Amino acid sequence: MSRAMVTVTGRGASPPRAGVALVRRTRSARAARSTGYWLISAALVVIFLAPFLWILASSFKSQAHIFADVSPLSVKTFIPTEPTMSNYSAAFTNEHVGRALINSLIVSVLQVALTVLLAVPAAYALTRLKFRLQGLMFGIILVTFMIPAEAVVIPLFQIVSDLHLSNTLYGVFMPFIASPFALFLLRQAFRDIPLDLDEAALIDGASHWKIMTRVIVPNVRPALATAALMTFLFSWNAFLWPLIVIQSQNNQLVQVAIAINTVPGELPNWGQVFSGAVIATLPVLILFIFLQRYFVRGIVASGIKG
Amino acid sequence: MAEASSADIGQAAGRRGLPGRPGRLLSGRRRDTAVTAVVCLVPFLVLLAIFQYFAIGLMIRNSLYSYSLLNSNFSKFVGFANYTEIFHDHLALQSIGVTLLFALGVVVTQVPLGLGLALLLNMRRRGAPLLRSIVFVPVVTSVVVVTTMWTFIYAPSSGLANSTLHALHLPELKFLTTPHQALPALVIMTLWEEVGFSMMLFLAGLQSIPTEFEEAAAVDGAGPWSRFWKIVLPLLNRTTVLVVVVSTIFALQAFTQSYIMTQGGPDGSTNFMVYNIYTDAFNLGNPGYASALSVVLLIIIIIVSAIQMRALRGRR
Amino acid sequence: MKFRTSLPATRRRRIKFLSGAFVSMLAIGGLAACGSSGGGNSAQSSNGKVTLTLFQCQECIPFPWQVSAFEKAYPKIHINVESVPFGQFYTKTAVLAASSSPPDLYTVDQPTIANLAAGQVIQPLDKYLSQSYVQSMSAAARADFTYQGKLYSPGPIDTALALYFNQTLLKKAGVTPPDSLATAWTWPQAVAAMQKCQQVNSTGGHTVWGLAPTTFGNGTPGFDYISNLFLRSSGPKGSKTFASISSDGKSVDGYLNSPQAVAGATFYQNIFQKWKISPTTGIPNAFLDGKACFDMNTSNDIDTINAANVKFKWGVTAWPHFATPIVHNGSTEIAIGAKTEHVAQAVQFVKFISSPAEQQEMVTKTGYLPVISSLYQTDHILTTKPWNIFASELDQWGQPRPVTPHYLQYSQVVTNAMRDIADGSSVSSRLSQAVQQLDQLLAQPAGAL
Repeated sequence: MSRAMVTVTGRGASPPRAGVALVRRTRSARAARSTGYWLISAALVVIFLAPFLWILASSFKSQAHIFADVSPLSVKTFIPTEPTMSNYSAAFTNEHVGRALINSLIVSVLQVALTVLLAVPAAYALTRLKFRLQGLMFGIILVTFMIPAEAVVIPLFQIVSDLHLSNTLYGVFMPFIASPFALFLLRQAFRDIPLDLDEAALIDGASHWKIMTRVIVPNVRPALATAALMTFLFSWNAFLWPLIVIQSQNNQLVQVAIAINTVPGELPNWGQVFSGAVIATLPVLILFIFLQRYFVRGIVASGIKG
Repeated sequence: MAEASSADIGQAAGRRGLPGRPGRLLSGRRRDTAVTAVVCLVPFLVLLAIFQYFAIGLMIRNSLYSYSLLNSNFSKFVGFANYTEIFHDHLALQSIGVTLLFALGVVVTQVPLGLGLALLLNMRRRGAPLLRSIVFVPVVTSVVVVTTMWTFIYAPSSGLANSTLHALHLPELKFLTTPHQALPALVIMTLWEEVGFSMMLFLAGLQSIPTEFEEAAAVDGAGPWSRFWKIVLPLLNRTTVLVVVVSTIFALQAFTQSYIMTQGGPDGSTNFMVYNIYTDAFNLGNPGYASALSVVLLIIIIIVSAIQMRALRGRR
Repeated sequence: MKFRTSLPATRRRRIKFLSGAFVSMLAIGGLAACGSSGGGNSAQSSNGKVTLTLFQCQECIPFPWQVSAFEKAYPKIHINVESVPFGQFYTKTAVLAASSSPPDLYTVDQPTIANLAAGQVIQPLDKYLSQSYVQSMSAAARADFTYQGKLYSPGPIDTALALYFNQTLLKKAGVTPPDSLATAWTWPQAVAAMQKCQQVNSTGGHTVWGLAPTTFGNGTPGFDYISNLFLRSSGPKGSKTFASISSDGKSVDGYLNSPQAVAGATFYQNIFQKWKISPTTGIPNAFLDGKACFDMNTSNDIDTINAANVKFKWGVTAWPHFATPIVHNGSTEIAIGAKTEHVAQAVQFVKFISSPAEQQEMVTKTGYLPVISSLYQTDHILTTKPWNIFASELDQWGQPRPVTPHYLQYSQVVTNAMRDIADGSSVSSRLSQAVQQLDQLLAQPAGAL
């Protein structure tokens, strides 16, 4: 970063050369570039939305049509000619998707709330208080972010079942509410708030609690929203751990409920698989559409400092 | 971008006080600070200790044993035998190679394409915000849904991909059913799934570059190409490090692709380490050995990200 | 400049934190090594009513109507059913057995009974089942459920593979499948029929496949329940190839990679690669949609086809063979957990769902065959087509899958190898690789999963 800055200022000091040629070329180049832009954009829309459209269309098709419509490729592939709601009604009655949706919602909301509740004070301590080994402590916390959950499933299940949390909704989210990711995100945001602010509050005799809730938190709302949204996303989309930790149908979560149900000799009902996929995706999609600026802003906050 | 500049100011202002002894104002409150630190950190650390460190500890302990998931009577201490066995295990060695290759594939495609998309959609053109959202949609979709979707896209005879190739009069491909195409096919799927995330990181990075730099260079006569290489890219260095490290870690942890789409095949060409660990533990009855592989994976992740951080930070 | 000085510092800090994190991780690992523990108790029973936990795969036995019938007959016992998709069934069984409150009742896949018995997950039932019941079971079933001389399950169901065919498509192609076991096709004959029946368009794409992709798992080939029959059938009765594992269950060298086994596996590969009569990835519902002439499936597919209201006539012909006709028997069965605190109640449940009346009802309702052999002669359904094909197959050709307390490993390794072979791997080298891997796994102590 420093080198680049030096180069730029160095160059800037020399007399500027005229950019006439650049201007002359501009008009035709701009038209070409604009066409290029729209072509690329159209390709992006197709590439990123076609699979979703196909799933959506298929979820309204009867078993006989889903795969018959794929080849040869035609409009029929993406638009149901004889739409039916039967896949959705079946998903709710047979696969207990309704119950699973409620369970997932409970788990995700609790996980988000507890994650934030734990991460805010921890981030406060790591950025606003000074004690030895602060950096080391942060490192110790962050290293857990690198551990693939699938690799520690066995010991984790031992621990959770020894705590009598297996087959409970608590067992699904308790292991993950101390989230190094949320802490990382919040720590970045907390560091951006000038220390002068809390020093001023300290002079006024404010307690740490007050500084945290009145000074810091109001200033990091976007980061909090991001942490909450990302946690919701992780929680909602988790698959292997809920599968392992939950046994009874009453406690099942939505990703597990919709996962392809393969039984020897039994044919999966693909229409139901796709309607399930739509049902499981819709909540996060809606959340994303309405709150996407927080996603972006949170990534900005965590991103620029690497 | 406002956030970025305030961040730098904040960092500069905050950091100056940090490394030394407690600031003059805080010194009188040392005890208060200690109590607060404990109250703030202990709940977090306790939970982390129970569910993460203890779990890792158990995993390390397990890696020194040969034992059975079904019955604890079979437990036997074997020292480092599980670790030495890895060197004789063709499948495990292959899975390490495949995983590293996959990570490489993901990084070399995702970083330039993520950056390209960010440059394209950073412009104030019509539709750019909408396009950004569209590219980001797969990121918020669950892996289960994405992999199920792509299983059908890649189906050789009736899949969407081959139907499209057919409609374009191109030869059909075998995708997941042949060793040479399976891994690239998964790289492409992962690219589709995650490129939105890299793009967002790059967008954030781009927006934090003060426009004066580029303007100055443009006035200076530098073309867009040289402006990109000489100014934008060096200034994006930290973002690039982040994208490379994060996408590598994600790739090294790949699991669901193998689990739902390929079961590690064909010929072990998509047998990712985590999936190999999973099958060793649950299907082949070797949880001790699987734990040793998990420890190896963790060490690989730490080493690879350390190397990347060093190499990319040192690159000037 | 502040940036220049701050950068190396960050780098140093980062490396320090990484190494520090790693060191502390190892330290904690050491701590945990001393502190790991197990144990625990199962929380159950409240004022006289006993709750039994039953762990099963989804849509496996016992079926919901059986559970509610039992609860009606035994009002003091409540059955708490926990089920997972079949794909996650083994994983979950292993994890649950390791937990502090394991289930009281397990649904088990028949060939894994030896695994679970050796791992002391399930308990022998000899002292609970009546002698007359045990004698009424078919000999094959009795052998299947026995490990080291002890009986671990009363069944209650059995099934086998046969070839379902689309009568309408076959008629068009002028093919008539045999309708008895005595006249059953050999595999080359069956393949000739499949080639004759399939329909390929001008560009080489299949509009109708000769043989539907399997409906087991995710539809890719390889599943040892099916594919191993190609190997075993290649050997004469009593040969190593036919046995497919040594009698002590410790080795497969010379069994899975014998020249005959290689020939069988090559034939299997040709189905997908040379003759291209079946695809290497799943096409859901290919047979039901009339897009395939033949389908390899078990007896309970009769029910699926009936429920699907297919638009064509269909039938069942006996499973083809090479040197020796063979089908695998065994299905999902019921067993009692080794650690249950409610043995008496669990036994009542097990006896209830394996009673002759229940077994007979199961045939009508689900398409599974019973394990009480007398029903094969007396039940009016089992003596009619297409049921009688399955019943006589089980009776005359039925063989258990390789009996070993390492069946899970065996199944996994063979399935992976055969899937790769179907995808085009070199047959003999892929089989040798599987043999090498499997021999190592078989050397482990029994019950090590």
